[in-house]
Amino acid sequence: MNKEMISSRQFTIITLLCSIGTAILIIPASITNDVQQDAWIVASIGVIFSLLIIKLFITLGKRTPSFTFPQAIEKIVGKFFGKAINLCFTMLMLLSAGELLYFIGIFMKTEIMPETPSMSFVLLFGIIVMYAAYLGIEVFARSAEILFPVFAFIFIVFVLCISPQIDIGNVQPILEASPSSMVFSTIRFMSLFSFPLVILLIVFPSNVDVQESATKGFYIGAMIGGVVLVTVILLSILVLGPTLTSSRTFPSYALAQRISIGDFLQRIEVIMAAMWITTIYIRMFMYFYASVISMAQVFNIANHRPLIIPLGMISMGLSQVIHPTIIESNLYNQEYWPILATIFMVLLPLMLLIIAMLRHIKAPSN
Amino acid sequence: MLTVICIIVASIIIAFIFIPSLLKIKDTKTIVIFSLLLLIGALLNSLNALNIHVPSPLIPLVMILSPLKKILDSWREGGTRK
Amino acid sequence: MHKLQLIGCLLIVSLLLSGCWSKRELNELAIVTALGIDKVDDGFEISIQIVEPSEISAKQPSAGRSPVITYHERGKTVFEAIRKITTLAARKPYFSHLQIVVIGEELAKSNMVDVLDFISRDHEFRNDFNIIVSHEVNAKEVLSILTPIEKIPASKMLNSLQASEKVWGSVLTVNIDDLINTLSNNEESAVISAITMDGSKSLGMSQTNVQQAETSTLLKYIGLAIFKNGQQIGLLNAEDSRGISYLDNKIESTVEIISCPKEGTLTTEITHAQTKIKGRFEGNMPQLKVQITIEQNVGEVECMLNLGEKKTIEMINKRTEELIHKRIEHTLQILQQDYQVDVLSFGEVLHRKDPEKWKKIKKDWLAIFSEMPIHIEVNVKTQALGTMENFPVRNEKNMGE
Repeated sequence: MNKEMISSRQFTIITLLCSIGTAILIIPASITNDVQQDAWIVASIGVIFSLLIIKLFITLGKRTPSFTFPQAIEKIVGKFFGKAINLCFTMLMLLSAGELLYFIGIFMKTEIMPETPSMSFVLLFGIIVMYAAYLGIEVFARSAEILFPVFAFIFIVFVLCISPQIDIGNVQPILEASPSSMVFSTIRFMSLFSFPLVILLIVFPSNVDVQESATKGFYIGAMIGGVVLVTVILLSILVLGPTLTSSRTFPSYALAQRISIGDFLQRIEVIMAAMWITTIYIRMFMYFYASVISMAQVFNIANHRPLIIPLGMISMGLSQVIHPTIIESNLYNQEYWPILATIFMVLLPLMLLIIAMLRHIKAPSN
Repeated sequence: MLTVICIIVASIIIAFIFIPSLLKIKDTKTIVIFSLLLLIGALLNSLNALNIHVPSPLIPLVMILSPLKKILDSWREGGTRK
Repeated sequence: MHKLQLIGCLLIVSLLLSGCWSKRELNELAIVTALGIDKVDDGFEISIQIVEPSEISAKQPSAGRSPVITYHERGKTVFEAIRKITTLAARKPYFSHLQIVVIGEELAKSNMVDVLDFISRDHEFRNDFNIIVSHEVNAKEVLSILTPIEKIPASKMLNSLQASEKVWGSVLTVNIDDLINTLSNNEESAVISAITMDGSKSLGMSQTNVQQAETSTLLKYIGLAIFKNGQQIGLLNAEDSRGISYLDNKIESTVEIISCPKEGTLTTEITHAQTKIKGRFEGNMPQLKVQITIEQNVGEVECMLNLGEKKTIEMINKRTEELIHKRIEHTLQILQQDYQVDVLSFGEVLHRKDPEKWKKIKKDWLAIFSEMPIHIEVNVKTQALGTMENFPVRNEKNMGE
């Protein structure tokens, strides 16, 4: 079977969009709630520390360059523990995929079409993701490549259109938040921004054509993604003010609603919403694809394709039961997800790296 | 009820598309797992369609994590008291 | 065969494109341009102003029907009343094009915060409409008046609000986000423009109101209403409202009348005004300084003055400075002593300056604010004299009188 390959440029784009993911929608509210006008500082610190996390992922990935992440786990810690970890990982990915579907549904339901059952959005979105998973990572990478200019264009328009309404006073006084709340908020930010990038080890480095430039792309993609998030947070605070940013369910959307240039370029928030629908699609695909691949690995199934539809159905079902209300969703993302993400997406790779070092597992030098 | 029938019909169609080709290569393990997952998926969606409450899978997860969260909370409070 | 499959697929996909689940077409919408909320004994009475599409279109000659229709309904909550309106309106009201929200006087004086919750929570309401309060009339009556030139009364209310903010300065445009921001930052205090009705109510409601050159009933802004703890506690007159606009750095252009040395007056046109509020701490005591920089032109001279001299210009500058200084002082006195409200977020200035010290005085801020002296500094520059220097009719002979 031919191995699917993506170019390092495609990988950079996937990293970029994946790191933005759901964060663009929920992060401004959740961290502004805690540290008020200092949220953008927290996010900037988070972006810088994320480089270390990415360094960790890359180092780990390069130890086992020809394996996907689930294969690498089994190689490093052995078959028995490997399967156990992979099973947990699959569950987490599946839950996360369901959660992202839930986000799409709840976003559309809250802001745009409240009478429509969220299942209808979930179904449409789920079918796209399943179809993409069926066609494989190569096709997905190309779709990311097509979506990226759209995303970039909308983002630039968004920033340009909203910047006349900036009020610098909203970010002052700087550094008012207590240091401990800043530390916790930084972790919270990173848990939604850079920790999930561990799923990119599914394709990195095994499915990337040029490893060296992909390594660079990993850093660059995450950096640009971080800059996008910091910009969105900063704009939310500068335009809406910390109070409204933290009280709105989706501040980015409220921000887009504010756009009004000369009384004719206005009411374009739904077009702006295409921005996060794109990034959520990318991250969702990665979660879903990771769950399919690692599920296949757990049961040693050579061809993962038959698993796509059943797992897709499960994640669509999960999206309906995962959070009974948006309050649980906020609580989970504020309090539990950071812990979960730290365990599975930082401590686990770190542990794997240490074991790999101890067992002298590394890339065959040629 | 109609939705449930739709889900069941869709699941059967999906099964008919995938299982024959897997039978050809005698991949019984995949068939078993495939059918099992399909069953879970169909069941979950049918329960949703029938408005039967399914507890969130996050509840046990949250229960496992809550002692850890309490420790972290105490740190955080200690930090702000200072 | 392959092509057939493709066409089949496309046809199936096109089924999904036919529309959205919650779609509402234009012919099902009743576009609401203004919403009025009044307090009644058992809850709220809401009034909505809906445009009559056929009357608004420019092509068709008017069939004598009113360009807008106003509906009223009572309910225990605002949301209930809005939904109940469907029992009397022809279509379901659609709020995304709302231009103005009028809060009735009685409601403003009791508590309007709860009403704002619905307005900012509902997804159909955007955040680009303005909020005003009614004075001496209730919101229901304000929405019943027909206005000339602008067929939709809500547009007239919005336009004159925007225009007078721009060239006169006695009103402020306040949208829902601004209002929530100011209400949450201070002790639930805010300023909102107040509108009143001039003339007979019954005449204003009929089409005849717009059929004569002289409109018998008018809607008119009178100044700013002051809110504290979510309640209206007072109304400022036009002069003090302009003082607030100066302090809030919202004056774009306005006019000032100064008296000439002997007799008569001179009117200047303010073309640019910038206000800076500076705060600092002296020890633990907060200090505030208001710095206003103004550029003006001479607009109208009704006295004997030789505008050609530098001395005269200096005199004009000085008198304008004094005038504005006095007004600001008066406005501040009203805010500090009469109402004890910090509607202009002076506290926020101090908070930004020194968050640590601010924390200490935050609790007693209103008490401190009402006592503290505020230093005012006005700086006026006269740049031009209009399109001529001295008015030729008032020549030397007249001057010597």
